Amino acid sequence: MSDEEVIRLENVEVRRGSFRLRVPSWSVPSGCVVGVIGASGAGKTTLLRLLPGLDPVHGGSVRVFGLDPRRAPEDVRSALGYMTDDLPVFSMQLDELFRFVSGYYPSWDATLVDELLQRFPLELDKQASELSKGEATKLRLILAMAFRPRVLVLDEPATGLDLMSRRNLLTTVLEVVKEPERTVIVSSHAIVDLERIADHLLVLREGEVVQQGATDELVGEGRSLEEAFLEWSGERT
Amino acid sequence: MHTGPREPLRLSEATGVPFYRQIVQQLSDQIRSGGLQPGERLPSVRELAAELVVSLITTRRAYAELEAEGLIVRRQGQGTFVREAVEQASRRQARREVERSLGEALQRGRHLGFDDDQLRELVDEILKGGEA
Repeated sequence: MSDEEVIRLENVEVRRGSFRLRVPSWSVPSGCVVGVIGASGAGKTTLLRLLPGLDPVHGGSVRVFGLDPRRAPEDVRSALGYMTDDLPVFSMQLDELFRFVSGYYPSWDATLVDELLQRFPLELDKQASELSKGEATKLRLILAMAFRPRVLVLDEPATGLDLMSRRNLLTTVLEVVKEPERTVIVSSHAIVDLERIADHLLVLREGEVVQQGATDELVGEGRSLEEAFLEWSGERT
Repeated sequence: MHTGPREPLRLSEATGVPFYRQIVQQLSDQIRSGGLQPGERLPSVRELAAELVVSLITTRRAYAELEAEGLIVRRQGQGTFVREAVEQASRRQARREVERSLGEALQRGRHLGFDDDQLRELVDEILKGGEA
């Protein structure tokens, strides 16, 4: 892991209706896998949406590559791949869609797309709007990865995937960080997968950070992440 | 440099043994048995993590332990290699293991009321008798 910091949040507060997310301090070094875990509604998506600058903060600061993503969204997004659950409905064939999106990214890697399609098969003559949940997940994953972003943000990437694709997903994440200047942030409510691959964790509960740090320090020997998580989430004391 | 096929590592979640320790165990077994030759290049921390589908922390920790045991060396900018003077190092490691096992046996002897002379006698007897 290099010591270069790619993301820093300080005293961040986001309000949405009665929900409030607070992150006192969070820093992500380059070259590692960071897991964001928490039950549904804990604030994972609210947090991750700040990174490409999709939502404003009501307090504190967000820096990605040292930039404010709300002020310099294009600079940030050209090097940050963001995969989220809400898929815009394209009425376009998949192969056309790839061609279309690739035009926006000078760093688009068509060879990588082919490799990813081997791992996460999709029928390229299908309309994007007709994909199943699992297929849509694969498409979003490929689109987020294909321009080889320095930071890859995956929000619940395993949604709807079959077992084989889930396994492939973990391998894919680790292959990204074979390059030490690249970073993956991945959120999940299913903690088992993250325990295996994440170097650092941030644990959210009802909008608050309840744990953060190196995975092995948080989990410890003889205790699985699942047990630790139950404790943090207050379901077991 | 010898670059024979490395036996794939197999991690088991069922044993409850942490992954990094399983990696240390399997690699050190391969090094000591000669399956991995002195000077042989090992995958990088990042390559091994992707291969085994474990975190970088896990593979980094495993390599740090193997390095501390004197079984591998990491050369800046070149990679990780099985140590050339590995025989000596593995001998040292083997000695530590025997020391630990004997230490535990003697400790147990003391708990059961044997004094040092009796234990010495017992060890001599066992050595003479050729018992394991």
